[in-house]
Amino acid sequence: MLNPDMDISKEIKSITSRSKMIRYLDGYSAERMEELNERKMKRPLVKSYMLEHVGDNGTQRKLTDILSTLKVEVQEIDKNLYRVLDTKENGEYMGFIEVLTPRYFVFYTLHHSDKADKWVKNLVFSSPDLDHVWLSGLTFNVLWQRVAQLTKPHRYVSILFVHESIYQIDSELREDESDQDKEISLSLDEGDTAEIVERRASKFRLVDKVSVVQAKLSKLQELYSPLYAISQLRFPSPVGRGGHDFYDNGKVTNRSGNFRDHRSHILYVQRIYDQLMKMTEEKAWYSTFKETVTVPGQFQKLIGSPVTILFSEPLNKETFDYWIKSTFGRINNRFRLWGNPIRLGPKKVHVYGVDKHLWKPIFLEFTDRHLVAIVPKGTCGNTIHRLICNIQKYIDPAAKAYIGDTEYQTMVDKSSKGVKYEPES
Amino acid sequence: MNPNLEEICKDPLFQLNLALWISQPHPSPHIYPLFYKSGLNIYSIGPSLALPPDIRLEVSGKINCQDSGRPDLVLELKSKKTFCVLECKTSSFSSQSSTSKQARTFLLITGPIISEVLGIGGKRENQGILCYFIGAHDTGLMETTLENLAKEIKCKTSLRVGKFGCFGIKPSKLTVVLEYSDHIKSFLNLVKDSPVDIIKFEEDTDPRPLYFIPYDPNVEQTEQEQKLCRRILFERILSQVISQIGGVTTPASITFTTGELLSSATLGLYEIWEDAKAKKNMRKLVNNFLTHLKKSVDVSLRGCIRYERQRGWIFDLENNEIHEELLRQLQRFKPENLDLSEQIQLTLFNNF
Repeated sequence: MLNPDMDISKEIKSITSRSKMIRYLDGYSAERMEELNERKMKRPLVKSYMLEHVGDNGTQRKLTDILSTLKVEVQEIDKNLYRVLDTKENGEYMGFIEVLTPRYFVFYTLHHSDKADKWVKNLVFSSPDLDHVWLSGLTFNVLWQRVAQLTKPHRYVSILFVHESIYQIDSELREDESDQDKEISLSLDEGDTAEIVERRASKFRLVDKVSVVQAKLSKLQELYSPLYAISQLRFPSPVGRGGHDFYDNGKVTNRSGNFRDHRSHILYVQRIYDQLMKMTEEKAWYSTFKETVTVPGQFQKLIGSPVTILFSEPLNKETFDYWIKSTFGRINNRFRLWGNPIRLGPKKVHVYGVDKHLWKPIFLEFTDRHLVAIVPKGTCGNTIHRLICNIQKYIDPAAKAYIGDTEYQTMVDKSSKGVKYEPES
Repeated sequence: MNPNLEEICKDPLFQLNLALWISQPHPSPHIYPLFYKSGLNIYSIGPSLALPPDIRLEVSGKINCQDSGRPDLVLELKSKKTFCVLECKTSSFSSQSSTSKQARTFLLITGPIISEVLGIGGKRENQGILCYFIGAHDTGLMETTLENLAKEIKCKTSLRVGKFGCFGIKPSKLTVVLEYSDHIKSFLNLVKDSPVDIIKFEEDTDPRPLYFIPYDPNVEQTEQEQKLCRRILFERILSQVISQIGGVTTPASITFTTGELLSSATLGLYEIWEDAKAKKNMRKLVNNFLTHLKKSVDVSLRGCIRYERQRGWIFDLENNEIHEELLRQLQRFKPENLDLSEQIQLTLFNNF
């Protein structure tokens, strides 16, 4: 029996130019769409992973160098387009990387979700130069507005909401060390082994007409806060049935029959994200800036704005304590933060620590009502987006975030309005 | 947790960080950003401000002042072309004290010469005010001293001084309150009447905000405050070390100088401190800290960390195993377990 993974690898290997890749993935997507319609999936869907090449512009390492240290070889097949060969073990072609800008790239693959998710996660985990593009619930709420503008009212939209108050303990339930790296599954099928949860855990999918969701969602969100925690949003395809499912970690599944349209949507969201990132870093980076004047010398300015996340309601003492303990009491923790907490009160802690995704310093004030972060210059704006994403997912889905005194959602809104919805020529 | 609120309010490092926080844009209800809301921006932290030569000649032999001074902060109110020279003090001082020399200099600087001293705008285009952040109980005495000094300058020279006043800081029940006079309010366009609840906190909770500036060797602090600030400094140095080591690909060799570490831990302020002895003390402090850090890792890993007088602290990370194990052990290091009140003794041969 043929190994389906080897088939995929061989097919990727045979593609030698951009036009061939686009034509191949377009045809492949159309076939999968037919199979989806007939409910007979024979091969995996096309998936894309939006990734960020982090680090200071001046010190950014070449993507090829970063990947080669991870034993991943990239073979240029066109300008800014590469075939990706994993040289570990037998060597397998994993997909394609398209470099969109020096900072952002996309990995396209045909492999099964389980395999591709794990491979990308491992790539990001192994390199402090790489990170996912993090789309928080607050960002998705704005993207949903764009979906509503772009899509005809009778089309169907799919939204997944995920929130789990993992630090809220009502029972003897405790996470062990190995649980820390587990992500909440975005699948709704929990199987027979699903744990019995006695803490707030919301995970459900809403599929309805755009017009219906538009009329109801904000009212529902006010009534039930986990509905702010959007973890996945479908952009309906303008060229047929289905659409493009964007996940909070930058994964995008093509559930349409058109790859070019899939790519256009990725480019659109990437441009919004890029604008948002620039605005965030411009505002939030803390540094002292030396301004030289003739008399009498240098002036030291302080530039930057704190990042503040206000909780919709105070956390109870047990939740607060457990959050601090499980974040800073363990080297491997869900927030991937390091620091030695300085207790300033029953519900106030300061941490002068490190964001271990990117290995950059970050200073944090935790209380039961807010989290304040000071991000020194050079710490990637991604740190802020990931923090907001995780707070909405695990602490408070209705939390509000601010960069300085500007609401984060306003910044996302502004970023998305300045971006034209059209593919690059 | 039973913080001594009176002492905290008198701590110059707390006062400086408070002044920085209330100049920041943020929505937090626990700190009211009075300066930011009033349009006051940070113009400069710890700038060196010198009296122009003609002023130095004029005051020479007449009044006891310094040729230059380094206030903690200069704030700017652009809409009124106004600058506030801000100095943080534990307590008031008399017009005979050594500190009064610095105050005379600041009073002169905030006068009509402010534009020239800051190097901006034409003569009399800008106006200045000297303000002290001080414990609220001392504001009366402090204002009297400033009035006496201003009178002395007026009587003994032909020069004019700037406006002056105090921001008194005091704890109330569950707030830290900022008090100021009406003339300060109107001169700086402050949007609220005094007193203002500047920090709100919960019972048994320390009101200190996150510190931008964690350490200043020249300020007077109680032992308790000094210990906390030293811990913050060490935590920040450790976070720098861990960040840099965590972010490299092996094989790699990373070098840290104590000066670089201090500079990043103090947001660059270390570089502008002028007191060479205090800076040397701080380098020694960091050197001792790194020695403790080295001793805390397993014997098998200590060989990867070495100190070279000319280069600094070098971490050799030959392979992934060493890299990961060293990182793991550094993350377990607790600066709070060190003797944070240890006195630093410099010897003749110390050269960090």
